[in-house]
Amino acid sequence: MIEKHLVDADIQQFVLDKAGCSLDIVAHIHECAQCQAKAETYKLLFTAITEQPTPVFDFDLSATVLERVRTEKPVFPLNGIPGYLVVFSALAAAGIPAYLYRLTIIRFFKTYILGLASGISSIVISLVIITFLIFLIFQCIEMYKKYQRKIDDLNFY
Amino acid sequence: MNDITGYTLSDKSLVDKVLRGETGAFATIIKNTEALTAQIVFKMISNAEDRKDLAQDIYLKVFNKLSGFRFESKLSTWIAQIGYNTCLSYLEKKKLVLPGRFPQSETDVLERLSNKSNALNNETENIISKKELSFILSTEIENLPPVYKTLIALYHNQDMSYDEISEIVQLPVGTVKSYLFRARKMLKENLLAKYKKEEL
Repeated sequence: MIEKHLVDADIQQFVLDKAGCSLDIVAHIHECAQCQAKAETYKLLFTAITEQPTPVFDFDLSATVLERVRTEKPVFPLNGIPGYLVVFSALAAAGIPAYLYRLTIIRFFKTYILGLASGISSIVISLVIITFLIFLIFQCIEMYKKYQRKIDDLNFY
Repeated sequence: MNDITGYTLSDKSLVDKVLRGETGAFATIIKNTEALTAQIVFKMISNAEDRKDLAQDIYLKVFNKLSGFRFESKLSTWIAQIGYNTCLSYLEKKKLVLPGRFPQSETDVLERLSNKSNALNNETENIISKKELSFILSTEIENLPPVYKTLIALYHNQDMSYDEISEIVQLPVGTVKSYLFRARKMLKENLLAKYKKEEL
């Protein structure tokens, strides 16, 4: 049997699911008046919570929503069209011209883009990459800080 | 009911009907899930007018996103998830996540309690005591952070499993259990600190 008093988590577990508790916990509660009293308090508390009145909206929700559904246009005009069809259409819209003008596009890249890069020294390219990586790291830190602030706002204790 | 995802056949037929344009089926969906949505909205939002607007916004979002529902969970769980996220966004926008305190009503409760005799001899007094306990408890629940209030309502009033709650609030099951444990402990300690244990 457990000699020390049980922690609240074990007592809550005992009240909510005695069958799922270890035999040691059950034995301790049967023997220890203090833990038994704590369990009794939790039992009363849980019963009182379940007896709380159920909240109900004081207006006809379905009628109000249906009225708005009938009068308001859908937020997204493509709503109802399967997602894969939208993606396929977008790919087709970009892909067909790209395929038709592929030679021109390749020539453009070879002449201008690669030509541009060939004129730049490796030090400059490295500098650009490093700057980009530093910028990315700062962005990540900022995003993490923002996330932490939101979590703190939620006051989870 | 599908054992893996938990959705029911009626969920599927209702969604199909709504997608075919039968808005009446959407009214049935609202009626079936209204109680759960109300629990979330009432626990997260304290202002009655905002609740009204948010409840409508939740179901408009559900209506607009319904074609994207993949039946990977129960329809009610999915709607509750939208409800929870909508309320959370509202609280974040308004910076109202911290629980609102109502010193006036709390003082009233304390005064009434201190005036009340410990010995409750007759049945009428017992009924009053039960009503007061209910009021005290709801006041204390109201003072918990919104997320805690919601978790307590979903577990104790809606009889939802840890897994379902975890899906709604999009937190790991372990985190849900831990928050629920802290919420109950906080509630018990707040009650015991403010009022005599006998009043429980």
